[in-house]
Amino acid sequence: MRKFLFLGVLLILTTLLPAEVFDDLAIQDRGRKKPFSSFAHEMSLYLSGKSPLTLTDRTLPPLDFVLELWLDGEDLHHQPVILVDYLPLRQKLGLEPSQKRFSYVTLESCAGLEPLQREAANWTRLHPNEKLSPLLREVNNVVSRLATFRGLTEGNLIKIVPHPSSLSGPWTPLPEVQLEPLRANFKKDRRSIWPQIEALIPTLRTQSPSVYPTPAMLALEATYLKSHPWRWAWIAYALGAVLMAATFHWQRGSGYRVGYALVLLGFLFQIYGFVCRIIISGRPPVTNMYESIVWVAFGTVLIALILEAIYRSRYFVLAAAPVAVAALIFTDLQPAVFDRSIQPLVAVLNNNYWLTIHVLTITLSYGAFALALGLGHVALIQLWRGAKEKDLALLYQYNYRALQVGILLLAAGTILGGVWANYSWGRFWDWDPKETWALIALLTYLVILHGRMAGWWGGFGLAVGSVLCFQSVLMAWYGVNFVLGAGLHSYGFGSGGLPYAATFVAMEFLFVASAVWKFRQLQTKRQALL
Amino acid sequence: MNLFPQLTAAEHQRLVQERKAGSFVWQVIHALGSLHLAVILLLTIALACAVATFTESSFSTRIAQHYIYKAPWFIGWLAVLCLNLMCVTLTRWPWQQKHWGFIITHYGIILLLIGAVIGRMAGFEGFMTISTDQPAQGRVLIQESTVQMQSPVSGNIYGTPLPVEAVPPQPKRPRLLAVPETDYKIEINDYAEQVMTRMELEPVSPAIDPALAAAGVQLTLRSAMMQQELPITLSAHNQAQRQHDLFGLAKLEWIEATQSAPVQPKPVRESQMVFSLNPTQPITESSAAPSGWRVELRGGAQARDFEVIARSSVYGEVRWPLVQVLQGAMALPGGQLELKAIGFWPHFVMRSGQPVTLSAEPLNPALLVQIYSAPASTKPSLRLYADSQGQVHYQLLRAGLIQQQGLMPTNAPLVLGWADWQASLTTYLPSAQLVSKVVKVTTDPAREPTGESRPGIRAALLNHQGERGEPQWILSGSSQNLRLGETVVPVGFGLRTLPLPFQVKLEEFTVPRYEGTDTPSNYISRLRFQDPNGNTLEDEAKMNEPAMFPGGLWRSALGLNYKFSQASWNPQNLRETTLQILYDPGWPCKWVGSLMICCGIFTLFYLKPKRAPAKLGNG
Repeated sequence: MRKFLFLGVLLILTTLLPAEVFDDLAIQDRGRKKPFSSFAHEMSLYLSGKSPLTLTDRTLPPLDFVLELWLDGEDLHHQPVILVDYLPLRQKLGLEPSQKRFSYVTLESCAGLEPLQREAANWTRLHPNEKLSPLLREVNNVVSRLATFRGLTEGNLIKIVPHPSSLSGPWTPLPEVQLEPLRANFKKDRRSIWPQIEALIPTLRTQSPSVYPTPAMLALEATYLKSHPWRWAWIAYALGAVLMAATFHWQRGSGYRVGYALVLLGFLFQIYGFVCRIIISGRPPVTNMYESIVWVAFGTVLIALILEAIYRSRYFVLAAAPVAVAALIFTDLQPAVFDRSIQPLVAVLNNNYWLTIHVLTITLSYGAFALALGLGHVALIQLWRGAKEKDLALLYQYNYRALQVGILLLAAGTILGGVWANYSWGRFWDWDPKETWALIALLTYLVILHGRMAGWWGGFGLAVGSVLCFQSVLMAWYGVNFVLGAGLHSYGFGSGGLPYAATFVAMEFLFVASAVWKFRQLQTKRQALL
Repeated sequence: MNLFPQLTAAEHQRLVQERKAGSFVWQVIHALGSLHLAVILLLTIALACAVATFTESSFSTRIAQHYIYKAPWFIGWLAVLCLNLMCVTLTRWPWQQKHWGFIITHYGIILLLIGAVIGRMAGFEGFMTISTDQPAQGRVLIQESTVQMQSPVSGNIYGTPLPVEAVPPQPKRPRLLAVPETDYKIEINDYAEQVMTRMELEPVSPAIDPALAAAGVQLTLRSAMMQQELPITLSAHNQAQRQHDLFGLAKLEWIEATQSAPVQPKPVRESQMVFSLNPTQPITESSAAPSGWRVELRGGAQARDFEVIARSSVYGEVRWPLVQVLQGAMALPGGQLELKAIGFWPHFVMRSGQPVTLSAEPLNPALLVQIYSAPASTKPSLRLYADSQGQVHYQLLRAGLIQQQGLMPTNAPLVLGWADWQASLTTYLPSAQLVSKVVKVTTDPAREPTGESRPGIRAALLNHQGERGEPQWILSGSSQNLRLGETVVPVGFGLRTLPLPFQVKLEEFTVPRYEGTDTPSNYISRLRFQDPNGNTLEDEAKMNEPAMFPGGLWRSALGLNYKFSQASWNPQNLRETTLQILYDPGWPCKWVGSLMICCGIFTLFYLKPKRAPAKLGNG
């Protein structure tokens, strides 16, 4: 099956993009074999938060950056290439606060860093079960960036010589004898090492043919990296949605069809991206925040497309596209917060079957709720614009449909999580923050549905509820890992993005408040008319 | 009886109204099953859970569980939810076809909660730390602190749960427990997460008991970089007390004044060929000074049961399993020598001058070992001794050679040159006895315990007149005799243990890694189970794939298996693993309930009987 997908995808895309030498050179890095070009891209993002990286005098594409570090790193020691993202840390270290990247030499000679590093180490030693403060966590990040920088300039991290026999054995850097001529040539003319590397690859491959990744596998990853499926996906979604919005009163039929086709095209780009990631990593694509945001965007569009196929209303696409586009652009712009590199699974998650079912169901439900959120926004905006009662009722009805999908999937996903936990750890439910917040989100949505059933509120209440309750989904999804940082789902912890999240929540509350105010006003007006 | 009578909505409503008017019971059912109550329940449970997650994040899991998740009020609230769910289904009686999804969902939730209750009452969740070196174990630890008291009247033992982590007893807020069968009470007036037994020196006249009296010093080691301050006691009472290992960084040692010259040991290199069938006649060959060790190979039924024994007139006897010796060099006591296996032949013969084995059967097992001086350790050390005037001298050694020596300064700390460690002499006692003291380790991270510390409580015995005995610290997993006058009550404190109806042995523990890294990709414990009837079973507990005993599909489905899953591991000791053991007879209710909820919601949303579309608008 894997092979099948693989061949199909490969056929379509490898022909479109020319392969380069460094796509065929394999390297072992962080528990996985990958093309050198992919490694360079990940390293550039990790060290500097940028790929490509712009310096004062030149722009360094990731490959040039890593090659220069490896073969002629002298100048880069003095260039601002190492990211210090956290403002309080820059202030504490006495670094220029407005600058984000600093040179290796600056940071190494920074007197404040070492005591902080020791403080972090002491804290971890004395409080093994407590998390580090954001400052110390960021100190650790900077320290490991410095170590990575050293590893690259000294060549220890460039492990391109395969293990002679074992598939999982450690690879080694190039021996000094072979490295020296590369260095000499590189210093003379950067491009001159290309043919040397090209000649080197068959030697490395024949040394241990069973260990070296196949050219097809390397090509697939390199192509995935170059083809930017997520970017094309959001562009297609945005175009499709704009087209649908523009053709409400003009060219209705063809506008709708082309818009639907564009959204479908974006959806196919996402499918291609997921298939690539699945083949490369050999696991479902939902094990870190980056993958899960991209997946939720996918789920939102999937559910919108299905409901659109049933109701033919174009509101589903109009509601889903902004959410999906925002999510995809957001992850694209924040590579330092949302790590996009493909890494092996933490041992806790090492069970693909249950992982797939549980996590995919839960995140699909987030997608459905995101769609409900979008529809809630559309409905409330239409209310503001003074839409007809009949049109609003239809929008509320769509909103309800999206909520139903979400509730069913969230209930099933939460319970499946219990089943997985029961199977793998024994216990079914243990009030872990992640599962508790999933439950809280479910309960808040149930309150909305029950209240509507009791007649306490109607469609407007549903729309307001869809926006408000999504904040609890946000808490379950993002907050538990990034704000609470406690519990068993600790493999997903990270930091960053909090100001964005807080702004988003605050804006949503303001939006809802204004909609409620408008609703009240309309009601008093109607009563006055009667 | 027809479960789904065909009634129109109006008829149904009239029926319900009549029923309510005529019966108080139905009125109560309708009140308990009201939507108002349901929404209040949903909101309060959601709010309580939200508060609990923040409590957990800022305090601890134990506190969140004690005050919310496992608190009686929260459980009671869930019970009210059950009642509400049941009553709301009754209010729709007689049920009609359109009620299917609604009923299945609501009873699914009830069944799930019943499963949770059964699991809590009849099941357990415990932990077990086992090592491949240990024999089979049959008890698990439950994460629940208890106090056990032995009645001085009958000798019976009584246990009481004491949630010390969530509600720690404090001097201002002591807990009183009645001693059963008596009118005495135990007052528990303090709790600390880290309590340890520390050896301290107390001056004693040598005339009292020369066997107990010996010379010793108390030192304080400080490191600003590590933010640490360690009290260390060295004395001549025994070999263990003479030395202290500083995190594997360096060694502190108390020596005799006569021994003060640095000993440059002669190099040792010695080979011994030993035969398990002929243990008294090893073939020994020494190239330098003799080692003073005699090695013996002791046989068993299989090669894996063989043992290697080394004896010395000075240091006594050490034993290792053969498999361990074959894996790498073993350090011999005394710290100077190492033993290394060169070869092992289960069925030894000489063929053309070469030792070979004829088969894998242990018919004439032979082992060739080498004993040699351990490579000169670069580990630095501080040696201390006292002269006849009662002054303490020091020697700082590196690679076995004295780098610096002199009188131990009394007014200023001695800079040791190991990172930024400094040593100050607190006291020197030419004649002291060793006393073990139970002390509470302060939470100040700078004063980290040097030895193993455990949680502990401080308790005292009270009588009905309010007289109080001497309070004592009781470490987790131990007991103390509390006294008041003539009365003695043995009191124990620790995690509750539970016997298993079978024994578990860890055969092997392996941690495979991701390629080229130290990151574990899995944890695999090979376990052997044995029940009293002699049934044995081998199973592997892997990540996300627990081992089960007694095993079998129907037992799994009914929750009648004991599940062993990976809980934690010790990267320093790969022969040891901690497993979580779960027994949950509520499991079938839980999963049937889960299935009902999912199917019910689906029915409710998508399988509605045809009727007019839901009225949606601005209600």
